[in-house]
Amino acid sequence: MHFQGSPNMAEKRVKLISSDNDEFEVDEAVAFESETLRNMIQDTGTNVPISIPNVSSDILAKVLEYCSYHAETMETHDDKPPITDAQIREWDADFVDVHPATLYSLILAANYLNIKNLLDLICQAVANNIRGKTAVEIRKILHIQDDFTYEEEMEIRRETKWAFD
Amino acid sequence: MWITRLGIKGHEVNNQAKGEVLPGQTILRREIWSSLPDDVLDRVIARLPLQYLIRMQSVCKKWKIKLRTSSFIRLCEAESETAPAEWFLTFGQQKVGTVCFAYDVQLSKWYSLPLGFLPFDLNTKAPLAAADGLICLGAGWNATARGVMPTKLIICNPLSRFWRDVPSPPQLDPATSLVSVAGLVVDRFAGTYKLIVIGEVRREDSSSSREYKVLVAYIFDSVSQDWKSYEAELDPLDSFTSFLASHFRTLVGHSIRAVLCSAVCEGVLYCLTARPYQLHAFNVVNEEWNRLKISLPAEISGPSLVARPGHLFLVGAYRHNQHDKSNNIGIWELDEDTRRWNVVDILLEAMCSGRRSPPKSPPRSFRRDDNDDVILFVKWATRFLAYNVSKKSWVWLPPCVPTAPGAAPVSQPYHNGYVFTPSLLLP
Repeated sequence: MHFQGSPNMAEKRVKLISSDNDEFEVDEAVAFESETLRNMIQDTGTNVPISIPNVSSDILAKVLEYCSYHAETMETHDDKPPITDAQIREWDADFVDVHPATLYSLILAANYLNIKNLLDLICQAVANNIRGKTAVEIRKILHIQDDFTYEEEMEIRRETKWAFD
Repeated sequence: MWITRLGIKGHEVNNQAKGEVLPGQTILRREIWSSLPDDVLDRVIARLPLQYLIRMQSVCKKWKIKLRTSSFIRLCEAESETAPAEWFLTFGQQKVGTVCFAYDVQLSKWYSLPLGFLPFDLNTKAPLAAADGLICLGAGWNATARGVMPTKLIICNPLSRFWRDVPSPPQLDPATSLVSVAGLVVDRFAGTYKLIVIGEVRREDSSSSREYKVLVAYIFDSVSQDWKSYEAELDPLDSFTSFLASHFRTLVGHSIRAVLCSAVCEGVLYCLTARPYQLHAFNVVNEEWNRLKISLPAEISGPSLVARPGHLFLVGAYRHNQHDKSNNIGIWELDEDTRRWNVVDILLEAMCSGRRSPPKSPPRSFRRDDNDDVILFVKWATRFLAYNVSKKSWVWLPPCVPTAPGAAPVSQPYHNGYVFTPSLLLP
């Protein structure tokens, strides 16, 4: 018989397998930061290792580092002062200060694993990099074909002049 | 809390993922972003500040269209990280026609947003209400027995340049004596709005054949696309004779935010009726009228109401007595406990010396910035003053001249001024 909500619940560990067959073991609370993993664990329990076929070990390690830190910020300890929002923001800023290729893989992983806060964090980091870029630069970054005629583009620029001042 | 890596390969965990950024190798150079799934890219773009979002329109047709789809606009509202900037809006006439001038207090600069995309002639009476990206304008003004009234009401977004007609206003009772568009209440997250029109109707009591008056709020709901009306009987003992449109200024307390609609001033429309002055409140959420039995300060002349969540202000000329013709500007705030108006500040006319014209139609609006400061805008001749209630400081706004060199100067700006949070919301 499987006892849900037993006193040992807090110590439950979950095994995760990355796309390149690396195995990770984390506290259930860490895995629960991911909505996708939460649903899987609730379906299959913690006995079966969960394979994550589209996230590589390096990226999964980063993601779990994030989940672990954020799960920890939710805990209260009598002997330690609680982690402040400013500290969390600083940690988050450091976390996304990575190579663009890593950021790209992280955004896909956060999307697949459905970790809302991480996805928000990375989307904002990418948005911060795009803001202020010209239309030509944005087309280059996003591989977008310019499908406006010169006249059409001038018309739009005239209509939205305030945004370019 | 800990992670065990049971790795078969057993290499270092973090350093490799962090990688090294080579000089000059920025996100810009990486072309990987083009393969982001559409929904993720949407989430990224939705987080751009509004000004940069507007610039996305010139990237390609797909983005131009996307910025006008309600699902993407809702995503922008939901994802927006920072509180959007609030602008002070006023209107003026230029060679290109009517222009909406928006003052960004944080950046201390004016933007000009031409309204030439509207196929109507707009006059100085046109702007009627504004809130959260939307402006209500009146077109086709006609002199009627009830006063000069617009035959058409238009809601537009000056940023996305979208507009629509509001279906004909309600079947007005022939006894309606004065009608005024009082406000726009927008629910940004739902992308819906309500337009409020206030009128005064004369009725006769059939048993005593005594005449009495009711105040009517006509509400247009963008969801039902229909008008509803709500009446409040005015106290017959008051010698209430007319509803002075010139003294009637309202500002709806912000948008009804899904989670904050219980806040004291939000979603409540205040209106002041004259002879004698009476203060009424219409709660747009409960659809209820309330008369607030609070008398106006004796020193005020030409009062205007300015509301913000938790605060209600009166702005007007401050005169010591009826012979006093000075143009001092007074600001009062309502103390809810004592039900009295307390003087917040008085700007003496002499302090504006050097400016020939006296202040005209003082009212205006509030704005809340990051420090939660309340700022009121006051018009003095053709220029605007910003009063910071928290810091008790007055500042002249720069003139709203066009930014392009050589562009035609602004003729007399209109009287109307509104506080407005820019958005992409569709009218």
